[in-house]
Amino acid sequence: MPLLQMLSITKNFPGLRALDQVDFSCEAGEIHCLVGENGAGKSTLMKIITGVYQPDGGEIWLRGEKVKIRGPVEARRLGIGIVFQEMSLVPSLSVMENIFVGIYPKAKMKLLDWQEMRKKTESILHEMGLSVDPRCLVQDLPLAERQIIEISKILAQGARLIILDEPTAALSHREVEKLFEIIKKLKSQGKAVIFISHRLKEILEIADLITVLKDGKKVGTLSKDEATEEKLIQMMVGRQFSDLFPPRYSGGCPEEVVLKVENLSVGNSVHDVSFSVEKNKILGIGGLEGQGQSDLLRALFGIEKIKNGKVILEGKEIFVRSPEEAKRNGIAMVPEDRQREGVFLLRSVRENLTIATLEQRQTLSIINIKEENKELQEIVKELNIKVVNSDQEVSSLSGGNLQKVIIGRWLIAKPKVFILLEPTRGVDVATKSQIYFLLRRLANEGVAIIMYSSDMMELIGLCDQVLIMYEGRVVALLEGEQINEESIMSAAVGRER
Amino acid sequence: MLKKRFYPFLLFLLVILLLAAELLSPGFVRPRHLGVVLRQAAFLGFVGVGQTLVILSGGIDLSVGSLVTAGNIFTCELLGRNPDLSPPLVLIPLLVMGVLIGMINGLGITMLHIPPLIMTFAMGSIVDGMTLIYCGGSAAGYATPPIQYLGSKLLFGVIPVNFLLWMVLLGGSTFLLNRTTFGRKLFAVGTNEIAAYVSGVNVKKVKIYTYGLSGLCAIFAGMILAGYTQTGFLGIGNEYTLSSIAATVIGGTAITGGRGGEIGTAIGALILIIIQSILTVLRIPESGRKIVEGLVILLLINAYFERGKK
Amino acid sequence: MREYRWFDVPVNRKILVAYLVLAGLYAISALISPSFRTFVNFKHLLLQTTPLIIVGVAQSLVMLSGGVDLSVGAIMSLANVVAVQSWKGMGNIGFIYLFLIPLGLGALAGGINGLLIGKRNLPPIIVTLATSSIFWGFALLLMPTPGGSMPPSLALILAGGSLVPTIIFCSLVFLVTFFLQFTEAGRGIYVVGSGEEVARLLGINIIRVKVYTYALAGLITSLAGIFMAARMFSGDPMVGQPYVLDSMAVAVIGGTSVNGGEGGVLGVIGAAFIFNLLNNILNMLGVSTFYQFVAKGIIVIAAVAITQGSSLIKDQNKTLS
Repeated sequence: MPLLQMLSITKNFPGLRALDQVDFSCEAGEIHCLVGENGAGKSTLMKIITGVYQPDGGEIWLRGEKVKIRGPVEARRLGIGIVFQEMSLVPSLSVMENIFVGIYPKAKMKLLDWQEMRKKTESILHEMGLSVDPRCLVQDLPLAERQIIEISKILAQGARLIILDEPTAALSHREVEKLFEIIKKLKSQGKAVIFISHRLKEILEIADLITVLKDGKKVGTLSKDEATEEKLIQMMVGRQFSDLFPPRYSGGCPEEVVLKVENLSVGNSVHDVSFSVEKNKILGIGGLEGQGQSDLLRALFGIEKIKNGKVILEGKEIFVRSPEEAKRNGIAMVPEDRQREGVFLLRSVRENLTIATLEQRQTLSIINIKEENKELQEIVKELNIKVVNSDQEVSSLSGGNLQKVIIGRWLIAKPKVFILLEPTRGVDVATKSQIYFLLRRLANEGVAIIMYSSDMMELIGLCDQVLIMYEGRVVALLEGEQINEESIMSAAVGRER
Repeated sequence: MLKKRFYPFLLFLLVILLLAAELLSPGFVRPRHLGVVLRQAAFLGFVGVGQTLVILSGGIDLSVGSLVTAGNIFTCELLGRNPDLSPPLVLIPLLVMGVLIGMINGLGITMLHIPPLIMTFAMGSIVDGMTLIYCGGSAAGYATPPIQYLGSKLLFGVIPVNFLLWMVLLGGSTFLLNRTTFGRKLFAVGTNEIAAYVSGVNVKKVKIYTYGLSGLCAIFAGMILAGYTQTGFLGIGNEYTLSSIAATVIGGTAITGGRGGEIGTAIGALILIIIQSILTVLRIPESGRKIVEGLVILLLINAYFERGKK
Repeated sequence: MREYRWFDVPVNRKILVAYLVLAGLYAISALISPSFRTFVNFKHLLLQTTPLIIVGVAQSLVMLSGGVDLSVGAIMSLANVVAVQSWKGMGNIGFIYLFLIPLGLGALAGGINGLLIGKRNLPPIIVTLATSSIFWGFALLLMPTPGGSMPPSLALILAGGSLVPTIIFCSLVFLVTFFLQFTEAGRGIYVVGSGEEVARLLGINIIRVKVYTYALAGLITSLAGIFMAARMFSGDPMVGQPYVLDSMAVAVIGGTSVNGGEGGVLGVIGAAFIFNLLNNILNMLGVSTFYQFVAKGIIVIAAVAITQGSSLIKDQNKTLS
């Protein structure tokens, strides 16, 4: 009898069917990996198991009994534990306290027994192979160790089904090995582990079963023996995506260099990166998540501090220390986290679109409304933004339209360099295509486009050059025909070509 | 947007209050008496204009009360000692001082990362000290006729001059918010500071100017107030701190920033002053006034949060 | 922030800084002025600092939960005014009422704060600003002008010597620290203060935590009000006014972060003494009291700026806006 059985799970969101009658089951003592592209439905499925979302259709059975998981607290009580990428640890508290929050060992009169807590934590950590002082503060620990502490916490709370969401995204090889040891130990203890990841090679190493999701549907489940990288990729992608993307650059010869980056280092995440962006070409930055791509691009825009290196725009060296300066130099950036860094939620569409280019339409600081209206009309038409009128609240817009607003905001600025971080995250397929065609058109007009995407297919379909980063360094520069899944993947996991 | 739905409600409230006032004290709505009420409200209105800007930017200014007192005392002392000098010569440096103090608030908040609550509260203390040091602990001096005109005169016995000043400030600040680049940036900063930064807005500059404007409004209020009180009074500004915040919040501006406007604050100020008048008429002592003011704030933000919930 | 472990119990190392600074200041003062070295002066300083320590503890609690309490001055004044009146005509056991009623009132007032902030999710600044007005109104209602009195013997015990006040604030700090470090409820305050989203994920009842935090703060604040009644030997509805800003400064200097989730009350004693000592030094140097307002403001700004500075260095992951 399987530990977990999810039958015919369906989940709808406005304008999007995230999950379509998905079956998923997992046994005790089994390591089951869940794969699929971004947006395939993996995290939605997990959020349903952990009670964050409620399914619109289907049933969940746990240990042979039908259950309704109404919330995260209930999920925990049922023995389901999840480690998200955004951790649920309290940074300013110690390791032992984080593990035992809510289940503190107590001495007489309900007083906390710190000594007991430390001892128990020590044994748990020892089992995990982690030699960290339980009294250490979580904020002083590196990501890999925090992850193990999160796992410890879940175990301490009695989890028998452990879900890991992209745990290896920001880990080094050694750390991944350590994590795998822990996972194998959990398996031997009869726990069930669900492991979500993009890294096919790792999955093939650790999984007993692999389930592939695509566009909200289950494509199939392969066992350890059946699965190969090709089969998985085929199951994950296998669609005609050629119509989604516009034709790539066909010039052939190297063009004039618009932006050149030399030996750039940023904090601890980017080391000695050099590359150039040629006119009319779209440069994509790829690789596994968290390898420094974001920080690199944000540094070009002035949000992160450049430690070393040069940035040369149109032949002149520039120093960009803030987005304001970047703007002045003709650099624009669409940020990764739309909600946090991009959208002014309770303001109007007009304000959201014009915020970056207010200087263009003013005299003595007074806004020229006529000009603004004209500009708004043009951009809404150009990007096909579904808006009734530009003074409506931007919160009424769908994800795709919101993204268009943010792109539009910078389009008005007529940048020389256009940086986009995950430009189609949370965007429906039709809008994705629109954005791709837009970017190609901009490139043809001479704008240098640099794009970071964790969506491999996007890089392959759209970009003329792809830079792969691994542990903060450039490990491969692929061009034209070289841009394919195999070469991207192998570079991404650090194999030298 | 929230703002648009509110004004009818507020005006409704205002009308109810006026009716109640008339009932409790017949003759309240006589033009002459209304003029007196407006004259009193104008001072709060001045401070409210600046406070609203600060709260819209996501902050708060607890130094306004001290600046009002400073404006009041410095004006009286300076004019009292130099009655022959033309007032602008004396008062313009004072206004500049108000702006500078406000900008220091802004600097502390943006550069030293001190929370606005603490920075402005501490600054208020510093200003109080400066005022005490300057006047040696006893308020003296007097406001010369030009200032008295601005602070007390009722045109045709009905329209307060300071009310006209208030309307000018109101118009100017509304224009600033709605039709200038600074206003857009202010709303952006108050709504989502990070997104504003990523959109190329100089968040620090916007905040510093905003606090500067608040300082200007507060000290200006104190100056004109001198025309009303005619001599300096220590501590006269104290009540304006809470009241300006109350007027702003009652007027529909979200305490977290990014939403609201000056007109709401102006109506809020009127509502507060009328409530105060009613309480005075009912002979309710200061204690009652404080309780009522606090309750009004609580009731209204409670209601607002209900509506604003998504 | 490094934590110093004492039998595995978390203790904030920043607290030690406060005491070092204090020792230094004390030494300087003693050198400057001979009159400082007298015991009378020490007693005076102690009595002056006791209420500040008490409200500092209350404010620290609230700050730990991620909020702020601007009504401490009002609650203190209310308790003060109630204290000097509650024992009248109650005979010998009157002094029980003198304690119980103000303390109960303080807890109630704090509880109201906590409910409004926790349950209705209203911002602490505006809520406590409003309740401050309300509570102060009640204080003025009960006693428009200073007056009232206290049983002389009781007043003498509480505020006549230096032993009892010391016992009071030391045991308060000890008890609150004990609560914060050894009870689940106390640790809950830290978790909520560190981040409400995480706290909710961890299944903590945020409303409950906020209510008892503010209620406890109110209770403690009213203790300061009672003490002041004993010290002044009468009641004054404005007694709490200077303590609002001061309590925040003392909480911060004592090691509690304004953002919540970090700190404690052990440093409050040192911080409060530093505060008053600096003022006393100014007095001794013949500086007029007016300058103390300026000095107070500058000290607060400096203290917060310094503590903010050190915690920002740790924030390597946040966008530098």
